[in-house]
Amino acid sequence: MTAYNKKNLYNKYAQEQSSFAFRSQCIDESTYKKILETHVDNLYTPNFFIRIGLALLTLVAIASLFLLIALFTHVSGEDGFIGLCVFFAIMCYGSLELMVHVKNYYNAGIDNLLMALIVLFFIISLSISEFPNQYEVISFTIMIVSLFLAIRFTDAFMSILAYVNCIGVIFLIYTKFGTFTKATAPFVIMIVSLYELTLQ
Amino acid sequence: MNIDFFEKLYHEQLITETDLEKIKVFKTNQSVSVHWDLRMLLYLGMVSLTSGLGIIIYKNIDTIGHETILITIAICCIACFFYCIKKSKGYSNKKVESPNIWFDYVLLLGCTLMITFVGYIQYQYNVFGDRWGIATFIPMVLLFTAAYYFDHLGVLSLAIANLAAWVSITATPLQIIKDNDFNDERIIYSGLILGAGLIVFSFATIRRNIKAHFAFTYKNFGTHIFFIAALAALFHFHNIYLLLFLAFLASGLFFYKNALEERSFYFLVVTFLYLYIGLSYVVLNFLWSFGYDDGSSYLALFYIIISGIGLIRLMMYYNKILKKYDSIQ
Repeated sequence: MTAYNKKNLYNKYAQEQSSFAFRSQCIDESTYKKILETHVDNLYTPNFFIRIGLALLTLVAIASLFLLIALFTHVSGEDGFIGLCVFFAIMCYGSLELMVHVKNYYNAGIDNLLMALIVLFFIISLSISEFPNQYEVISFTIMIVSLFLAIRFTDAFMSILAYVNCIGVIFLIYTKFGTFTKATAPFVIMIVSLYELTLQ
Repeated sequence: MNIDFFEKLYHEQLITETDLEKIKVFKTNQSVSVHWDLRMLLYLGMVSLTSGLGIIIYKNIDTIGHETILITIAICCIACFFYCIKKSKGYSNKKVESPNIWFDYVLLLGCTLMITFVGYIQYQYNVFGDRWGIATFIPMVLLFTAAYYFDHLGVLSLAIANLAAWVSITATPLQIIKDNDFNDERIIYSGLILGAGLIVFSFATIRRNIKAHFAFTYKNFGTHIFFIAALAALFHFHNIYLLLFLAFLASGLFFYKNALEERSFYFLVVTFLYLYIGLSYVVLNFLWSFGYDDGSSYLALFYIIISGIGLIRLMMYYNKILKKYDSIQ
């Protein structure tokens, strides 16, 4: 299911664990270097600030592309924009798969932003027109999409988003059943959160 | 740390038995740190307290009275500074550690109250008259003194922000501020001078070894103020923007070289992004000089997409270059 090579992910984990052990002075430098040499990964994770820069530039490029395609296709009306948003969500997903497979991007800023944009485009496309039970449908869709992205691309932010939307769906559906459910909703959310915590 | 993982490493003979024992002991004795959680709560508490008091005072100003409020603020402020002076380890050119976890927050509260006090008496009683420069100069001096004496980066940031306010107020005629005319070129000049001054000062603090750890804060403020003022100059002086762009590039080259020398990812990214804004302004100006038609708009969008991807490639290249020199992290 995951888009990454499992050995690469394991090696990355090994590097993080040994780095922590080295910083905690549990292992010496030569041991640490030996672990790093035997656990090489080819995942691309740049420096934190470079990641922010890459994410910003990706955002600028995609926003311009959105505008360019909207201008080229003379898109108008609700259906047109819904179609364009869905098209961009699919395009972002395609680019993400391509980048992960070809360049092995892992928390590189670009992949994180593409994931966030996929979710955003889905939210926008579902929010343009009004329909019954809109919030429930949006929350459920985003939960499924972000859960899929979290598993596929091993992303922490997407898993948080999936969790928040899961709580949202439960809250929105449960509170529809009357005053009693409204009053007990916080307890239900607490129980669900506790259950999800035990799943860890 | 995952013990199962390290046991696997032990079986693979990558770590010794002593290492594994050390890791197990560390894991057993490792306590869950709530240090940053508590600090965050303290900070939130301080912000909530000051904003809550502000709202209460605002809503009950008629019944409480200005004098009572001012006296309360002054007493709280003096109490905070009294506590800080009593607990302080004294001035040193080197970094001075805080005596306890409360100290930093009490000092920050005292400084915030001091600024509120000065602002209040000026707004309500017009103590300094039209001399707004003095109203900003006095807290600025006090904040710088507190930042250096108590060694506090947060207070230093407040002091630099106050310095920026003082410089722009002093350099700009009062009528312009009263008219809310922030398009005046004197604000741009003062921004450029202040930014450059802060950068020079950041180098001086390191060279003279006087609170060398303050250098990053000075340089950070200086870089942003300088670049923002330089961009404002580029947008404002439209007639000579190409000439100014060359000067902008030259200053960018300085920041770029400095970032590479210091192997700073942060300043490299900041420099690239500001230079990209400047370059994009020049290119878009050129494209739109032929008129605002569909063709030039398409070209402009194509430029943004292609240049964005180009800059992404460039940043990745420099990430590789700078990472080469990374020591063990």
